Amino acid sequence: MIVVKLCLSHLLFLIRFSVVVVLFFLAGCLSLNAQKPPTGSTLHWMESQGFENIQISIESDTAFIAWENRIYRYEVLAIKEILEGVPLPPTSVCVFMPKYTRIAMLSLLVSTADLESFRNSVIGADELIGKIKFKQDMDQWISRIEKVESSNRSTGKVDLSIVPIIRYQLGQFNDPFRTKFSLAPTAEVHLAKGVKFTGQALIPVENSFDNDNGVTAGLLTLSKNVRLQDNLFLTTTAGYFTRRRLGIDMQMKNYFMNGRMGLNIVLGYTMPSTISGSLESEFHEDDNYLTSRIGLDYRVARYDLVCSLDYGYFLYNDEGWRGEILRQFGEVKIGLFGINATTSRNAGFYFSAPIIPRRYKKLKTLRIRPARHIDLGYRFRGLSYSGRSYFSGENIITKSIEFNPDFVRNQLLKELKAEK
Amino acid sequence: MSRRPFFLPFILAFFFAHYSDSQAQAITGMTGLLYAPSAEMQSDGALILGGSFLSKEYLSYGDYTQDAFAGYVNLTFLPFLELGFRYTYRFESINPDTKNFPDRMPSVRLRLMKEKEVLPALVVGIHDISSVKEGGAKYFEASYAVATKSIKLGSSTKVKTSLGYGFGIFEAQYHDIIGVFGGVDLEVEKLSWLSGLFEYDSRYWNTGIRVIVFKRLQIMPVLRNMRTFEGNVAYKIQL
Repeated sequence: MIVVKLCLSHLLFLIRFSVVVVLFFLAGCLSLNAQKPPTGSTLHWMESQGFENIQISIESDTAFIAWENRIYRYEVLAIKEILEGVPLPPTSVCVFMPKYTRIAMLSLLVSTADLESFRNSVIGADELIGKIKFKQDMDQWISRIEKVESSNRSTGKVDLSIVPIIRYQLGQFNDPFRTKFSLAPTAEVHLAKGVKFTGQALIPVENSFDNDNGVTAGLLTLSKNVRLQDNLFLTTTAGYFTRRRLGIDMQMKNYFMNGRMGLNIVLGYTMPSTISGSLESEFHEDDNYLTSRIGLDYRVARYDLVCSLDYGYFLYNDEGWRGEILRQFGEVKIGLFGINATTSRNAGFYFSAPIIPRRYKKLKTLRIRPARHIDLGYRFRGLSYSGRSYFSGENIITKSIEFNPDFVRNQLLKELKAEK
Repeated sequence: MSRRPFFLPFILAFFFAHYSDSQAQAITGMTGLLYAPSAEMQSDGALILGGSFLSKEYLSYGDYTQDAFAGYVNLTFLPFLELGFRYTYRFESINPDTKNFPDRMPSVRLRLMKEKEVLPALVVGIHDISSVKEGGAKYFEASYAVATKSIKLGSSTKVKTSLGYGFGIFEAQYHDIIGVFGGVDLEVEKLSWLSGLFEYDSRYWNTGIRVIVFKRLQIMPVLRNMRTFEGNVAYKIQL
């Protein structure tokens, strides 16, 4: 009886939100008054390299070049390749705009003469980087490409990545080192501008951690990313998340000071689900929870360091603070966090390291590749339910730190210098 | 028993070593001399994975009856901030009967001043920050300040001298460094992959050598109290 009731509540929940999701989907499909893409060597070169959703517009002496990178593992490397290799249009200024799910994230304004001087080794990487204007405030540029039709569109292509997932626990008397290693084939499909489906299966390879040894579902989500004016990013995700939660998650982030400061709000409503394995703690997990948090972060540009502080409700009605310091060492991210919440205090660290290769095959209809990175975390109190939150998948907000103007400037300089 | 395997790393080191001005990882897993800390810092973004062998003769955590192995990861998170996490376990079964429970040791070091022409570098550090039993499970506590100054002797020899004090600020089962400590690290330019070290770690006089292989791998055999073997191996990745 309880099972039937639970299933019905899941079904009702999904029906309610599917209406919202369909509206989002339809909104993304509309592309009014689309212009024909300009032809030319710039476009052909970018297509041949495998960049997607390419938009090129030329207005008087300025060329606007936007693209989405799913070829290079690292966004900075993609930008470097374009700066070094793209045939330059016959304009005096170029505005380069990398995108994520067809949404422009950053602008790099550079004079064509400076770029040519760099290519001809007349000026060095330091001088070139000093001349490029890296801006997140780019509403005026976005409007220039909005009506330009995209070439090599990403819509409908299936990008299947194999994600390694490691869970472990240290320090039990009866089992001092428990581990679970799973491979998670994860399919991502772009459905429309900002709309993405993610489906994931979890395949345990080694397991001394729990009793779930079968193939189960991982993330099953439909998300909609939006960029509004004045650097306001929104994302809404519905579906099945990590920590055995089914529901809807909304995130908002507003950047100020050219991406150095951010205000974020997280709002979610989730219920338990056992489709990826049994609940670890029915006492904590077997309930519906509203999560709501507000936070501020500040980036120390010199060190690519982001300090953030969040307050609000985590999962399991746990109210409290979470402070975090994240440093981006290029593609490697290492973060430290501390939690002071009703249930208990906790602290820990996490890191994310890239997986080879740096460049993938072109994505035509279906591509299979390794995951971009492997993630590991450590919590000092491993069994604690304090300060927990689910992960609803990569979105425009989690991805935005890779497009931060200061980060791209610092790392692009390193990449260009390494090349020279 | 043949001695060849024991000397093999050193023979390899002799042929394949390259110059590296990287600073040493002490047996504690943090930057230092042999056991005692120094005020040197690794380069920004240096990630070090390593392991140390700890002798039971000086190991309160092992009840002076069991040797132990300490695996660690160390990161220079910022140019002036070093973080470390060590996981130590005794060489015996882990269960309630042996009371052998692996020990976690988070540590942090903060550089207050870089070395200048006259003034030494100055670092403060805390090892084994947290404990689940209000200090009852802290076996490696160290809270200290240390200064290090490099001195050139002639054209080819450099001596790094360190002097510090362990305050023992925090409640602990055992204070790893308490009182005055210090030591020297001797480098010769033509053998820059090799250092000779001598120190007083606030309890014992120790000596050892440090060999850097392929710029990344450190091998450091140590004679603790001038008679007992301890040592570590550490591998450095620059992020």
